[in-house]
Amino acid sequence: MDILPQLILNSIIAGAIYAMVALGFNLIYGATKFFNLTHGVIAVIGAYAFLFFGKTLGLNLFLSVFIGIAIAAIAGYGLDKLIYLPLRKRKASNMALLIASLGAFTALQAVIAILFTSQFQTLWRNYSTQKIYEIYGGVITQTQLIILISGILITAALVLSLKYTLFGKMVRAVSDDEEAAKIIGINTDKVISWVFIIGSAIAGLAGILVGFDTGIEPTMGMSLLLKGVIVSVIGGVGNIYGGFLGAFLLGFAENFGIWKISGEWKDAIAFALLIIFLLFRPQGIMRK
Amino acid sequence: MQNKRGGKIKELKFKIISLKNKNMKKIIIGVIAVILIVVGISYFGKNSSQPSVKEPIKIGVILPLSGEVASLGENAKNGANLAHDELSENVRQKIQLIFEDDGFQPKNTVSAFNKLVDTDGADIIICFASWPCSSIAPLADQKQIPLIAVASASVQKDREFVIRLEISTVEEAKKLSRFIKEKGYNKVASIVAVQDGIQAGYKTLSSNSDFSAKEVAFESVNPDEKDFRTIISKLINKKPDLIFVGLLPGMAGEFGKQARVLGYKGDFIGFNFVEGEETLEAAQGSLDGIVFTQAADPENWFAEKYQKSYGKSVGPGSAHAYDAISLIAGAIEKDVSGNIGLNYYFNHIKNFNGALGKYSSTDSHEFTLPLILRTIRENKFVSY
Repeated sequence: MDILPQLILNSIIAGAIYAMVALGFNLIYGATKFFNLTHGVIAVIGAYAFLFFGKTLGLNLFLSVFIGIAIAAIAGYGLDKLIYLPLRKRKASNMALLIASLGAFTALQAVIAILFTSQFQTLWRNYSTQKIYEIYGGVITQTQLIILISGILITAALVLSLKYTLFGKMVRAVSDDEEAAKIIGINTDKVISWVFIIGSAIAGLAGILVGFDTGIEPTMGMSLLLKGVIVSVIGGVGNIYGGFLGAFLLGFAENFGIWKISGEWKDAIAFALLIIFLLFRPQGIMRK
Repeated sequence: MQNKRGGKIKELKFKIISLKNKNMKKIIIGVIAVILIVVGISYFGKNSSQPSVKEPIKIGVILPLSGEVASLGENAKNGANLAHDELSENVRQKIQLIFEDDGFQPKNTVSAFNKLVDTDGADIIICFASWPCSSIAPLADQKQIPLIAVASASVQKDREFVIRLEISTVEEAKKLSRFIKEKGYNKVASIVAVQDGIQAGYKTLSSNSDFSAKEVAFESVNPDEKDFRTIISKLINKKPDLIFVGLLPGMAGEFGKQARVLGYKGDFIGFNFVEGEETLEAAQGSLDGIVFTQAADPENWFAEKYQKSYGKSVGPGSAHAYDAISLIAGAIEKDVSGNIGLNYYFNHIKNFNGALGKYSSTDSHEFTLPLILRTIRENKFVSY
């Protein structure tokens, strides 16, 4: 194993994970203009749903992945219908929505811990059965390759659908100006609901893939969320392309950073990058 | 006429005043009577309602029932309950266990300690693991509450009311250093979580010249880190033939798995905190062969009892909790009472026959627990 190729691969893998989390987060932020903190716990719901159906009940792998994604999507939709939509109807401020999402995050995390215990768990039955590939002296596992490919494919699909489909145009219209979108006849509540469904489904898939890569525990949502938020800010909040670039920038910064300094500084590097962007380029890599 | 009228008025005034005085007297007598009755009832009532049995000794047990080492907390809770269930009826009635979950977070341990002592009126506290125990050791001294700390680090040092019931990091470091020397390892790399207990253990180990002379790489990571790939790449780059794993159970397993995927072929060593169900769950065989220090295997009689009661093998922490409750029960059987009395008793125990074997307390507020090496074989914890 050569260290440089391995570092590059590690950075790309980390970037792909962050990209998937930030993708859904940005999509929801773009449409609703508030920091949806439950996005992190939605990823955890996806992972635990897979754990239950795939590992505990022993259902087919792909069916379990589909169920995990579907449950995450339903959870996201439910949160919008039960919490965010009523608040939006009452013209609640973004701060109120943010606090509501923090409350929902904490409650859902506690429910997961009660149902599945706080214990660390893995999604693999036997990790040694997964294939390992060598690329220019670096090593990448089957799961990591799937994370990378999924990240790229989902981003591409989302970008294309936002650009070329009627639904994508409606999402963009809502993102640009919700009131104007209403005036021209777009059912903005319905569009936002679909945005929650799609964004949460992506988060659910991210949770499952992270679970396969590094295991799961009920509290993993917060670290995923924090990285997602950092990526969104440095990429340009609400900008899907920017989020994608920001994810890989963060992945490289963290991994190359801890190559030279101790690993305990990994999170500090991420937050330092965030502060640098907030100070010198608050609009992020790509302005929305 | 006017004189007559004036005389009647005077007479009437006198009557009113005397009536008032009479009423006043009655009121005063009445009030005094009521006070006497109330005082009497409360005094005699108190005496008659005083229980013939004393209030039970309340034992506050602070465990990590959730979080990174939840399995340790569950094992310990089972061990404590087992000990309590086995006590004679007479002693059991005198002991009340109160469990609190700290989630392996020292701030929660402090809250749990304050709640147990100030609200529940706990007489003795038992805590688990160095990190949480070190956070409440000063409070135990301050409030003069005996604290039995199941912790490897020297949390009892300079503390009057803290006694340690676990193998010590100093002994662990000596044992591991001897092992490294005997096996002839040449290059050791270390990965250590930024967590008080683990850091203290590593500090003791690295101060041993046999270990430090062979250490070629050291990395510290955040306690909740799960992605070790770049750290492992750095460590492997130094070509170690042994890695010291100073990580919590779940992390240790994940680290082992990632190290094997990245091509590490050498061996692993660690301290007792490696042992936990989370390690096996995450490692999936990748840490087979790791050698780590641990308190001696629990006595067979305890292992059998545990298996019978809970339908599973005894895990780390169970025997410690069982012994901690048994030690307290021993004090109660001997009619030792009061914080100072209990504290004195714990510090003068000799040849206690517990689930962890035969041991005594020392002048330095520690129990001399036997120490052994353990390993993982076919993804199961066994003696080395």
